[in-house]
Amino acid sequence: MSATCPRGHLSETTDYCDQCGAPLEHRSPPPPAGAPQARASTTSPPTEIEVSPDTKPSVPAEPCPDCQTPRVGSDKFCEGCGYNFASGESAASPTPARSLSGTAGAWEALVEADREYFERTSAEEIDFPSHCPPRRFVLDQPEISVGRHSPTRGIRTQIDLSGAPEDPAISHLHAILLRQDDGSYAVMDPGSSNGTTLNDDPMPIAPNTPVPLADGDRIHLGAWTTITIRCS
Amino acid sequence: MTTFTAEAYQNEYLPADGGEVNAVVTVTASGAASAITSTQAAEVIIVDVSGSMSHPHAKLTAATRATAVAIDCIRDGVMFGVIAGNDTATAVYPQEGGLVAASPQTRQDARQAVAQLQVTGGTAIGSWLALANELFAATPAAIRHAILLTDGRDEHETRTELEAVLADCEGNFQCDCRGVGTDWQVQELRRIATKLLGSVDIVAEPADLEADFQAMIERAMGKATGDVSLRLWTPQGATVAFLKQVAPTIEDLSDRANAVDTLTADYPTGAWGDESRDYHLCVHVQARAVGEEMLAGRIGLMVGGEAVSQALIRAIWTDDEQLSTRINREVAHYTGQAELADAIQEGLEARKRGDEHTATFKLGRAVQLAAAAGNSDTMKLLAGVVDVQDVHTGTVRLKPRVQDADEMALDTRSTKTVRVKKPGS
Repeated sequence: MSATCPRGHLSETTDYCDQCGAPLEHRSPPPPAGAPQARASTTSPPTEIEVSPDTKPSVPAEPCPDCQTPRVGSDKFCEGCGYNFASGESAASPTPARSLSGTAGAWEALVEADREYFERTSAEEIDFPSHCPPRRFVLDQPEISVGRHSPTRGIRTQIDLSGAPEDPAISHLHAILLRQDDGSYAVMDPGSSNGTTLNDDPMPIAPNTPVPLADGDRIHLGAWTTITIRCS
Repeated sequence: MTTFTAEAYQNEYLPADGGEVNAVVTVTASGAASAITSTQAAEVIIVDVSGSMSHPHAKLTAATRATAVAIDCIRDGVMFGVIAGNDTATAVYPQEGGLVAASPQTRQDARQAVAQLQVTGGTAIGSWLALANELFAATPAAIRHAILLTDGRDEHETRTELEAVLADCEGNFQCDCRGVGTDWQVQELRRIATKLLGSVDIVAEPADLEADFQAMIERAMGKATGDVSLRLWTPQGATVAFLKQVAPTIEDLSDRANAVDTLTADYPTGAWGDESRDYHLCVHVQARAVGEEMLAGRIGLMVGGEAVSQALIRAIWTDDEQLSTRINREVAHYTGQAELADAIQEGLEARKRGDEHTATFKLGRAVQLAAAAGNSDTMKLLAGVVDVQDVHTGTVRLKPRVQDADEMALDTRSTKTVRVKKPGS
């Protein structure tokens, strides 16, 4: 048994659309008249939904102004590039960490492919990249996220490690650099899949716990990525 | 036959433009007791026999005695084996490897083999788990449980080696880990226990081992349904911020998701007996117009590949602030419990690195939260680390001298939660 939802999806579930979660007109089994609805916790009456004409399936998909990928339903973000249909912002917007200018006393992060770390830890099925230019980022915000940018998942990191060559073992949101009161930074792992280690310590740092960093500390993440924190 | 029920607690009303949906889902399994005898189970006990186990000698004596008690608790017909671990793993019983069915005779033979254990060498926990994995692989049993007892850190293998073994073992068996003494690392055992869906705890006094082993085996034997998963569906455009087990202990399941399709993922939860567990789900959905409703999540239980029960998480957008600002009691309670666990772990971390300011602040906050929610066991453990001056404001002073065992007990048990107080109690 299947049903069509107000947004035009074919749904195998008949209570709510199995694509977009919209309530379906004739939920089955329908609640008997006068009986409480089979749902938990709150006591408020169900809200009747009117289907507005612009959500009817016949409306052709609007292309993304940035990359021309057709918009899926009324998705807020473009599947292709993460363009925000609602606000009209391009995906690249959340102020990326400035790449270097070199002020005195400034903290910076140097991202490199680290063969020594790779040899020490990595799985056989991952290859060390043949060419990986070092990338530098100035740390000039109180909170700087590190990871592999994912437009479809709505994750945008200031230090974006998704460019080629891409380290496959880095989570979309892998680590966060937090500015301390004295201007230095601490690193926190918000619970990445493969963990984050510091310098020569083989044990990963505890998730959700900021660990203060000193000039020259090396943050290891993924299969071969090392971020060296420096104060110039 | 075990039956499962799932029930959701939430405030489904969101303000205009709101997109964060929180819900607590209580899953209860009942009827397990009558189903147990027909369920095939396997049990492997892994005992550390590295050199350090004889300093003091009481550790080894206690470990072998506890193992003997555990063996006695294994009911007839359960497939079992005992492994001794140092830098490598050795099958102690049955010596030729494999598992044997428990009977009065085999239990006695196993106890005798354990009594003759000698200590020597280092600690390579990965090799012990790898052998256990091999033994379990040969059995069709639905409930596969191991107990791992160690007194030291995993020093004789690299972290990568251990991680590789954990990846191999994941989903094959559950493992409860126990640290004896104070030379082992909480984080290391927690990592193993988390990966293998087990618990971790400290047994500071070797003499307490027997009772603890007995309890663990009884709990393992009380399971009637293996391989239960939570199946979570979320709508297009939604992201799962987290899915955590929040009672009886906090375990973040977010990383365990196995994608079924683009909108659905399964989260393994291991074996179940007669018990109830609570889960906190946080989903970010795309806001819809005021008055619209959306199914923000569907949590179902998968037992042996079949969906048995489900709970619905809904979102309704409203401009009535009275509705949208209400915080559901269960969600509020477990948000506090998660903050409590974090405050303890962060406070202890800060204390270790000499940051007394942060440590005092975090542990003070922990005291405040524990008192408010009624975590009396946690309060007792906190009192071993700080002098409490005022529970309501969270004013505490760090104790100048703290027993390692007290600190480790607080750390390992920081993830134990209490349930929501019933109104009026």
